Amino acid sequence: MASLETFPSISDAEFQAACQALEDRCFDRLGGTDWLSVRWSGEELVIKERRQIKNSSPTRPKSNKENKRLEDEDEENVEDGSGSDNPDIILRHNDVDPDSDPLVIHFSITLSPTYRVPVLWFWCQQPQARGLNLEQIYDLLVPRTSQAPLRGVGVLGGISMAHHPISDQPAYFIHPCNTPEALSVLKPNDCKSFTPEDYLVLWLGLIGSSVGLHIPSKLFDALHGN
Amino acid sequence: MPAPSSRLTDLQRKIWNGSIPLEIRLAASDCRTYDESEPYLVQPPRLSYLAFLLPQLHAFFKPSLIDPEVHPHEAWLSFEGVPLKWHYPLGLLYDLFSGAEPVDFDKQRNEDPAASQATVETASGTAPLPWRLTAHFTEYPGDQLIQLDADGRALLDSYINAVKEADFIRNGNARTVMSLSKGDSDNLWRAVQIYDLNLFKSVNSKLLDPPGMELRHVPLKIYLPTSASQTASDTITEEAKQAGHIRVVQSLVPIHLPSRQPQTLGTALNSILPSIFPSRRNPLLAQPVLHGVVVPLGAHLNDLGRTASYLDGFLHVAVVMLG
Repeated sequence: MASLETFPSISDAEFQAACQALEDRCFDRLGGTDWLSVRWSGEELVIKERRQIKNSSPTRPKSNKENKRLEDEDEENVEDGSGSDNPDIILRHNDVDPDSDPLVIHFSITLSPTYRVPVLWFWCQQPQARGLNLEQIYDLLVPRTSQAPLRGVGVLGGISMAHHPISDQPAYFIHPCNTPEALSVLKPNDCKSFTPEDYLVLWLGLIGSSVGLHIPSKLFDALHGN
Repeated sequence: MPAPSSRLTDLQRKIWNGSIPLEIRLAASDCRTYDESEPYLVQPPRLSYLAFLLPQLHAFFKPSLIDPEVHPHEAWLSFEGVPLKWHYPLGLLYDLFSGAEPVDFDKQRNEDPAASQATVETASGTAPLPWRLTAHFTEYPGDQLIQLDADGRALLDSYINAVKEADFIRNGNARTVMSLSKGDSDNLWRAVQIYDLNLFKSVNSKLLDPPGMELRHVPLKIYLPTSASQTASDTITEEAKQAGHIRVVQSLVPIHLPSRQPQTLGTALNSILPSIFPSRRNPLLAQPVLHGVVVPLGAHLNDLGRTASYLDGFLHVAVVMLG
């Protein structure tokens, strides 16, 4: 693959190549990881992730029914802690209920026509939940280390809601306006062998990690091995 | 040929003064007297946002509400079953959903040369006015509309994001908007809320003419109704067939063509959507509509951007298929 022409920007063709490459790499390799699927549609890269939420309220016995009511605002101590692939997550309590249902989070990566960088969209599709509000997003998805930096940006923080450019449905997204600058700091020394897929992995490491999205280490090893 | 600046200012004022009469009825399912509540009549500016009406709407309909404890920000508006997006200005919603035929001055001039004196105020197509909308206070369609909040922060966030993006598009960076003083950015939002042209221009002019910056691109968003977007792309899903689904197309549009000629609406549309606008001069398959009017393809994009943009700095152009 050709190296990137306009780092930290990425062209349409480079973005398509990167997403296709990542989809190919993930093919049949996601078993045992938290990534349920990776699909490149030609316009967006959709990643479905299973995120374990630990309900560790110690004062009352947990039932599956209770754990399912994630939209209940009275519920305290709802945690994010998915374990193996999320080094940033610190379990806030020792109490862990293995019966609590995981969330399925949909991530969609599109290319911003304005900022010429990828944009991370995400939403939570639970059959019984109406959808998470912004506070819940910060509580459940954003790792502790990213809370302050994300919240400090803009009117509502670095996470906003808008209509997804392809589905037209409301979804959360991380503002791309700071991405070019943030990425340029990470400019690789050896640009010649820096492929579009490398770019996407770099970008995921920067942007995805702020909402706890990490490429499964299994694939990461494969990236270095191949 | 570029238009003289006095005509541009005149045009800008006319657009600012444009408004749409609304007749808003309470949804029968929210109404104690079923469908016998009085309609709320209001005539907001085309450039403004429907969300600003919510406090008055709530106050007006409160006596008729089955659940009077509901908050104003839980209300939503629909037209013929289609929920209306909050961050779309009223004029754009009307252009996209009302079914009103846009005013076409070229067509009118060709059909009746004596009618070339038609102005924006006097011309009327087959416009269904007042525009009849329904107000709902329950069953918020969270899968189609962004949830508002009591403080109006979601709307402000959406607006500021658009202003930042427009600035980035114009200059290649968002330094101008980011360096606005707090007073200026407060004034900008205030001007939007109270709809004050002078206050708005006092800040907006800094965004349009930043010192030391050369304007590069024109902020433009193109709205395709579902039927049009199906020809443009093969990846439309079943969900897209829902009424009200709009495909928004954006691409960086330089002010000048590589030949140094000014970019027109026609050259831009032809380059972004060649299958829908195969000709740069003649609308063969579709027409671009802005503020209820069919815009000639020869219009200079730079002029359009400076005079006909909405409050967030964008030209929001609706595509209406012909035939």
